[in-house]
Amino acid sequence: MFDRCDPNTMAVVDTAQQEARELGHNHVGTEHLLLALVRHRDLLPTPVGALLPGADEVKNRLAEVMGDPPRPPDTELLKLVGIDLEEVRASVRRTFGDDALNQLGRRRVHQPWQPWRRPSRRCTSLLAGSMSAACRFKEAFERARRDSDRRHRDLIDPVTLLVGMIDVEEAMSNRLLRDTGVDPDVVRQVAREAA
Amino acid sequence: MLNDAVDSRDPTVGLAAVAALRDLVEELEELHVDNARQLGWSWQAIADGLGITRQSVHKKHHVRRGRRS
Repeated sequence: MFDRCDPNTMAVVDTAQQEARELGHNHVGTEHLLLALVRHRDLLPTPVGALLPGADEVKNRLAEVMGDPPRPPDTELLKLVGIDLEEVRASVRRTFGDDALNQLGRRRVHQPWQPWRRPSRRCTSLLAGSMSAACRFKEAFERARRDSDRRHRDLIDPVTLLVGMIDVEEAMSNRLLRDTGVDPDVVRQVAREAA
Repeated sequence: MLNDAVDSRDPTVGLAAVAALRDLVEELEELHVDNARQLGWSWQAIADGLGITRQSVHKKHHVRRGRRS
């Protein structure tokens, strides 16, 4: 997914993962990508960077949307009840092979039919490993890649990634942008003009 | 850092641990149900194995498996 990123974009991706880890989230999504782009606004064309909200603003809004404090990583939680997640992974790998685990990682984990349960926020597999990329995060890269192809560019730069992210209509990042008083469409337009 | 902060008497942590455990069980169930289906087990046999009704297994897993067999 990241093979087409230029060094600046890789720096953004690293920051996004770091943000997710610090927040105690078990996935990296467009909300973390937005936070990373905001922090690296110096890597964006100046008029675009000037439009983006402050990092703290985004973080506060995200905390409100998520509605609860960050929790410890799953491995720590499971250790509390006597489960070693690594052991379980190893045993699944022994029984069903690596393929089964990879498949779990690839698809969205189905929300089991249990009317008494609230929909889970987990959109990645526990067994497949930590820190999987959320579907919309991947889609942002896919769109950025296609955009780069269209403009005959080998590598994805941060501003192209930003536009790719905005193009994912239902992404959490767009909601956060709107909530912080920034119109994603305006950002896209300015970014296109600056690119 | 979290290791020190983790205290299972703290309901926030204890409840989150239970939720994670439940998610883990769901994933393991999916793996084993898929395996049983691939081996040709009927929904009834799988339900018996899990100790729940055929209807619940069917509703939960048949839909998830995209209604393929």
